[in-house]
Amino acid sequence: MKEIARELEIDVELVARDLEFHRGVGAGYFSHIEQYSEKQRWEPIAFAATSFRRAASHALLLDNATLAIEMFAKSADCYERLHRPYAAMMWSLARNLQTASKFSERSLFEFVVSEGRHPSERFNQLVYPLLVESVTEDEQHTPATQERNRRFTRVVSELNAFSTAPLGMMGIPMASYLTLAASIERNDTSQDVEYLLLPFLNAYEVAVLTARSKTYHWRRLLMPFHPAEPDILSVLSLANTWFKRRNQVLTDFIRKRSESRIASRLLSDALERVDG
Amino acid sequence: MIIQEVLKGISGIEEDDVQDIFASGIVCNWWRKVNPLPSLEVPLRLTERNLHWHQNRYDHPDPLEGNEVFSKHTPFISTTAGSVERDRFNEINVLYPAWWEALKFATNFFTSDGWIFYCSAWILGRKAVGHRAFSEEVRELHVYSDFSLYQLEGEVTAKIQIPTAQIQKAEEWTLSNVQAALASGSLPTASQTITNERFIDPSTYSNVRAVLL
Repeated sequence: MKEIARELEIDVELVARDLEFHRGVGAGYFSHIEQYSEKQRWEPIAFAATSFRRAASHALLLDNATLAIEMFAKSADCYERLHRPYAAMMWSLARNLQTASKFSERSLFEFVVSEGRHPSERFNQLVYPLLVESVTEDEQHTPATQERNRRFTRVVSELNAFSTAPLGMMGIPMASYLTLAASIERNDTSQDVEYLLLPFLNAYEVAVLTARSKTYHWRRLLMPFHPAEPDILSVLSLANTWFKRRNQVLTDFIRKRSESRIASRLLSDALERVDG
Repeated sequence: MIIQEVLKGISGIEEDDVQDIFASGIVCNWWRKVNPLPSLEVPLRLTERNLHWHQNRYDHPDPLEGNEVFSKHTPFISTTAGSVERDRFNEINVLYPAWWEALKFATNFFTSDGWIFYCSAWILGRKAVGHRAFSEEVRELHVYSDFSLYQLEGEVTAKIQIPTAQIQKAEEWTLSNVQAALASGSLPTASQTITNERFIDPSTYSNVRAVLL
């Protein structure tokens, strides 16, 4: 991605310095994380999660996938301490689908047993574990699988009531996440799943175009949106897990949309690095 | 009206310059360029068009200024208060404290020493671009819904001048100390703090909304 970033006039030397800042600051907060947890001070843990997340995106942009994975894992750890289902997406970007899956299963289980008393601030976020669950392979027809399927259907049904709520950095409606997760869970056709990925690809493309027009902020990446945006990459990476089982690769689809478009180049390159 | 604490990072200045700022306030780039300030022009400059240029076309040639870059003539002053707190975090999963952005500007993106000024901004909770006394809370998405994804996180935009009575203190951040702290996995801290004797504590008038640190 680094060469594309240079072409796009992003100051990669500045990004490298910013990466060291966010990596160091994340570590600084993380070194006190037990005290923060004991005192229930959630903000510094959220700062650490944000900082590692940012460092990971910078590392991807600078072609350092190894460091990106390490930073995503640390970010996931912080979100998990905050009891944020979003941790599942960070674990998946850290190439740790097993932990993502265990965490997702626990999040959905806790929701179901809470019988409507689940903390409201974490309610919308359950769509992330749903997406992880949808790509998790199970042995067929075991009691555990049947229970998992019931849980999946139940949570989808609950979240449908919030289908217009914007979610994540990009503000993509929850319905887009829900329909994608349900389609993958049903093992629909590749074309169906590709179609349901379009809202994510389109949102990313619009974001890149808009962000580039603000040249002062873009060159310095002085904005919450990132060219290696974890909210988009995590969704695509999870979908790619499913495509790979069908001996297909999602990057082919992304490139096919338009090989010349900057957003397609950035995204397909980022996805290849995330997935290794 | 809300009194909001904000931070402003400035690079390339020495302690004497900090004392000058304590005497005269933090002024916008336009004032620094045309000093003395042509006060008759102030209302003509405090426009939504210029606020948008300050946010979105900061380093673009401005046809209204003979195609000099807009930043040289901006009547606005960017500051940061950090993310709007818990509600926003619930939506987007990221939370930025104000000192990160302020430190980036203070150190010119980790290339020099610099200073972070602790100030108070007065905001109305709605757009008031023409009113010099009030800052614009462009981080507040209910007021400025178009600035969400692409703007400096937590921005509050002051106008023309942050008066000295609204500047509480300045912290010096040396690059070597910041780098040493980051390399050792600890949070960097300021090398020294200077308080401003001309500061008037706004909490005597109203509640103050703290900066997110």
